[in-house]
Amino acid sequence: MSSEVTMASDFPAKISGRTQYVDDLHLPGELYGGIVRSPHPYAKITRVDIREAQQVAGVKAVITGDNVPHHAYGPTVYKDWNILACEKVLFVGDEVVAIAADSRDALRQALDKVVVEYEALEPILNPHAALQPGAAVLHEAVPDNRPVKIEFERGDVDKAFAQAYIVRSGRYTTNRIYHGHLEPIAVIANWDEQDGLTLWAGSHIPYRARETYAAAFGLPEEKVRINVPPIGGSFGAKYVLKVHVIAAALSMRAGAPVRIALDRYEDMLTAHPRVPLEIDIRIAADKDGHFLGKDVVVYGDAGARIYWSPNVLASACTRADSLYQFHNVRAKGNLCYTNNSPTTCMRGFGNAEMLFAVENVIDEIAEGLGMDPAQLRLQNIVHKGDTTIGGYHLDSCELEACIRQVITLSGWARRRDFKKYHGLGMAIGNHVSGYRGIDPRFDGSTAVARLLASGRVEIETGEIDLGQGMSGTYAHIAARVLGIDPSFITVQSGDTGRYPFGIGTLASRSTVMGGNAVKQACERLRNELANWVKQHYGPTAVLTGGGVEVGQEQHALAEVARDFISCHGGDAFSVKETYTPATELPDRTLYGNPSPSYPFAAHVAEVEVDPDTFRVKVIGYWAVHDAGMVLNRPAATGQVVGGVAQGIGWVTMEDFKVSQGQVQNRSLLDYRMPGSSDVPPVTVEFLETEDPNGPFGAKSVGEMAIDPVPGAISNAIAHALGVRGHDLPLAPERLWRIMQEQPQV
Amino acid sequence: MQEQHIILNLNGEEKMWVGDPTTPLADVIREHFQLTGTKVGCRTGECGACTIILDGAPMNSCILPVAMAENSVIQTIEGLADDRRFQWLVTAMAEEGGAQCGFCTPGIMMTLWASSQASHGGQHPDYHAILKNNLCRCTGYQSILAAAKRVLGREVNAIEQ
Amino acid sequence: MAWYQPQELTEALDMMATREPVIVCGGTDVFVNWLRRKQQFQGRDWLDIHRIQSVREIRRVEDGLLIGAAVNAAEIWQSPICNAIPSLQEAARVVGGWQIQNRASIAGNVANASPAADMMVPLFALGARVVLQSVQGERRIRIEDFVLGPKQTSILKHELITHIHIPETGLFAPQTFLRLDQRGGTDISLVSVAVVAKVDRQASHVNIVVGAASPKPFSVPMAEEMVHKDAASDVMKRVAALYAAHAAPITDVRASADYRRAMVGVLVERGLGKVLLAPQTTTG
Ligand SMILES: Cc1cc2nc3c(=O)[nH]c(=O)nc-3n(C[C@H](O)[C@H](O)[C@H](O)COP(=O)(O)OP(=O)(O)OC[C@H]3O[C@@H](n4cnc5c(N)ncnc54)[C@H](O)[C@@H]3O)c2cc1C
Ligand code: FES
Ligand code: FES
Repeated sequence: MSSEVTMASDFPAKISGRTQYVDDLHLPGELYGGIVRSPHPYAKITRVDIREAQQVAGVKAVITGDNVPHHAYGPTVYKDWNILACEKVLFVGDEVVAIAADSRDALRQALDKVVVEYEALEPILNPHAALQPGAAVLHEAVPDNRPVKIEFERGDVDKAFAQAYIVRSGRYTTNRIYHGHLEPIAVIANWDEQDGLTLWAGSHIPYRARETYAAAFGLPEEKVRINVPPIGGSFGAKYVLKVHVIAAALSMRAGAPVRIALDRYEDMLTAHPRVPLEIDIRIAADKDGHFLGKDVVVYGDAGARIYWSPNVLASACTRADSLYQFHNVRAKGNLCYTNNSPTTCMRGFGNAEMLFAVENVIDEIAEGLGMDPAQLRLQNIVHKGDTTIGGYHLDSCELEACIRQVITLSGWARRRDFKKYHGLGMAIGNHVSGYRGIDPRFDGSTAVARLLASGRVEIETGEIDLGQGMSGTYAHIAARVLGIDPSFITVQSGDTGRYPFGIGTLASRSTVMGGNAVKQACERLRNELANWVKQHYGPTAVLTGGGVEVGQEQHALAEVARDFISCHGGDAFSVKETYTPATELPDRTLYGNPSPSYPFAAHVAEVEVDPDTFRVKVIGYWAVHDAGMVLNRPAATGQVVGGVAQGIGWVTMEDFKVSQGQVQNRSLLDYRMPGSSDVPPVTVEFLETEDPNGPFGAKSVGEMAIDPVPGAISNAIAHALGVRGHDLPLAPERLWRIMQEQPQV
Repeated sequence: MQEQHIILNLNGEEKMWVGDPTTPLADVIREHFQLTGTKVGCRTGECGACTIILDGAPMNSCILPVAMAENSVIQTIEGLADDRRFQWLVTAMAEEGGAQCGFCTPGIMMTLWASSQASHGGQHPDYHAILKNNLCRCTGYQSILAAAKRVLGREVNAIEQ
Repeated sequence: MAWYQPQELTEALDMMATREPVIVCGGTDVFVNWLRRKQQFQGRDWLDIHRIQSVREIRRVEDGLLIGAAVNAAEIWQSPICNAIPSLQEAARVVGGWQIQNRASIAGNVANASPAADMMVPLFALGARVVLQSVQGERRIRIEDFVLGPKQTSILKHELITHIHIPETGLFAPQTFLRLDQRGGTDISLVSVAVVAKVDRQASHVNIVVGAASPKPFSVPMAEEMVHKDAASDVMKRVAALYAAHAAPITDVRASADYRRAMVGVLVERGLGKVLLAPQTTTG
């Protein structure tokens, strides 16, 4: 193996099974918590009877909507959450009664003994139904069931289309995708009059969770503390969750710690999947294949409450405008309440969804013009130095080089000679490295760097490691600044009571935001320490990686640390720095420069389609990324391969089948995620150049990894079949049906 | 529910457990014996996170009632810590980046280790068949396969010859 | 309720006669999602037969092969004796994954009588008989008479399956098992087919059995008769079409009836092609 491997220090523990996730932890006297949920997508609660449940031996608390606080709260600006339902239930899985008991058996018995009677109401099952005149109003604050409406036009789109030589259009739909985190959602909550509420919960935005949960109970924020044990996968599933709030409410009632651990069945039944989008898109070009305009209308299904669907819709409406030079763009976005389980972001955040549509339409334009789709892309993409039509400042951009490189790696020229059922497809993408709109109040990051008595350096951050390699990256950054080996660095995070504030890990922000903060803190630590050693050991003292040199004399770092500590009342030398990016909050039309840097990528997929069963096999995949300078290569490569695998699942097999608001395929057998043989060898390359705003020139990778995948695979399938699928997933049966509908030759 | 006394041979030690004989072995080893290296991801035999080794063969402990494991030799990941081949696998997985969130990893390690005990006739085993019952959502499997190839493939044969 | 793990068959049969226990072989069907399902089994006794040596063996007998009820899928595909019935080995190789195969028993697959059960399908095509025992004695019954429909069999109250018998005719005959699934991880058949060619002196005859596309595996004798040794591809197409027409698939979360029906045709044609066009297996 190459020596550049930054071994994340948690690897051996994870691999040997010593890492403890939430459900591996136990508090003395803890109770099992569980939830009675609505079986109806929309209904009036006519009776709740918990008396029999309360009689079950071992039951310590039973709560209903009548005995929890009712503050307006929610994780975003839309305060539409409750703790338990009172009058109406809004989706299958909506929480009605919660119980804590001292054993699993007692809990299950008690849950079965709760009586809830409903009067079923006509559910709203899609955004169009939500907008029908006379549709039931699901939240009074939003009388038209449309919490988010986006509308903007930049340039003159109608004029552009009027002048077009070619226009291609279509309605594309993206589906409900389950995050598929291998660790089901779990939480332990403990209420204490003195200390307040403490949660052990997998949340990668724990400070927002803290703020939200404090609001739910009308508590000051300092009365809520969130400990984040290692998280067993999230991809957007583990942000801020009702289950956490309910465990807290149960603990308050029972006076004991309460654990709620969902099993896979409940995790799937109540999952908050990817926001399904319906996208009407058209793109215009002149006869030489220069884009003239893009026009999209998007409908998104938020489900019954707001999680991160507004941001998903916003990315869908805007991000691609900073990938290609469309010159004139218009978007209309509508996010609607329905009686489906609330939907939320998942890796790709709306951008991957829109790129599925955009990249297919671009291939159609290429077909229409008789052009190579790669060439068409090359002549319309953005470049370094551009300020895009959406307002992004591209301080670095190797997109063109990425496309050229993926052409070479994949043997793109083979494409012309493929027989039917064999396809090669390309797609490209862009993303952000942090997004200003996520929290308008602050979008930076804070880090503490501390020289411990042992000579080791401890970094504290408010960002969260999800297994994406964040700790390894931070260790690398700190080591590089301080001139010491990464194995001397410990990265700490995941406790809102101990570590500095952080926005958390979303919008691909950890490398750039947190990384810059770590870099600043370490620089200050180094500079201040260099000054102090001169005061302490004399003006000739120099700080080196391993310690201090004064002439011939050497002082090891541990010794320096101890000397410093004894001169400072026993405190370790510690500095705290905040990085605030020079980004702009997008305006009402979502115009602005919301991120310090933008990564890019070009992907090519090769598929074989079975001519009879239409099962698609992805047989080759090439991904070339501009992620700036790559600080943690194994982690970055792992992110890309993992993203590609998720994209393969999304396009070829995964789909939450929902009927009357209820997920039908609630098991990992019937919701199919890729197994090892479904993923071909993936070739990953990084074209490294420095981005001026990243720590040591780095940009993000995590979400960029999946953005082009749906486009690349679906374009490959279209190339193989000569027919284009518009609705994800392009699973065998759907392709079979499309081909059945083709006129037979 | 009638309780039953069950004697388990767990990681080389005789252990007594008293309770409902249909309790999934996964819960017994995780909750009673506090061996939390075995993870539970589905309770339906699909994800492989709960893989343990029973009489040398990998199995899903979530759908294995504890009573069935009586009179068998049970190995959990904790019991392999000192095994030489297990350590090679740990090193290979760490170097290849075979774990991200790590939740699937112990189960995958158990499956790979079991495979390293089997004879593959000097051939590379069919890694996809071996891992068919283990899901990983993070890695895309490439790094796991690379680690497996290093340890289970030619290297093992070479080392043993 | 109690868990019994007898070592002797007679003990097990006595228990069957007196207690009506739930039989467990591998438990891979019974214990799925156990915490949610255990209420249904309240108060039941358990008879775990996987330690009874006589039901764990695979034996060559005078009139064929005898596979013990508790023999699991991994043992089947690894067993040299079972090389005589590759179609069953192929089915055993796709049941779940390695971990499942280490437990999933042949009797459990048959007794569970799921329409999508894989090992059951080649057993139909091989003309297997289910060997049942109770304190009253033994009876052998053709598998197509044993399996009545989804989750329904003709097992009597005090009986248990001790063996599956494969008659001589199927051994070393050209045969195959194919299934359509949708991913490389563990999956359930959308449609499966087993084809076993019987080659004897007078004529050649082919058994074609389709699984997962009807309440139980089915064959279409009229279509089977159309097949002969040098059947041309258009004959195979007609046979496949007949099978598709006779299928009675359902629509569920895995696939629609339409797609399943079409795939019956595809798999039958492929299965036939594989068996008839492949070089004949030698007897051994
Ligand atoms: C993740 C997963 C994937 C799977 N994939 C497949 C697949 O691809 N293909 C497939 O066919 N199956 C599959 N299965 C189902 C299952 O593994 C098989 O049906 C298996 O063969 C069942 O055998 P068992 O011994 O485990 O059954 P058990 O659970 O022990 O028993 C099943 C039923 O049969 C009865 N029974 C068992 N033995 C006897 C006997 N001797 N006499 C009378 N009745 C008896 C039991 O009482 C019970 O009702 C899968 C299961 C899981 C969990
Ligand atoms: S928890 Fe046992 S296989 Fe998933
Ligand atoms: S590393 Fe997260 S599921 Fe495998």
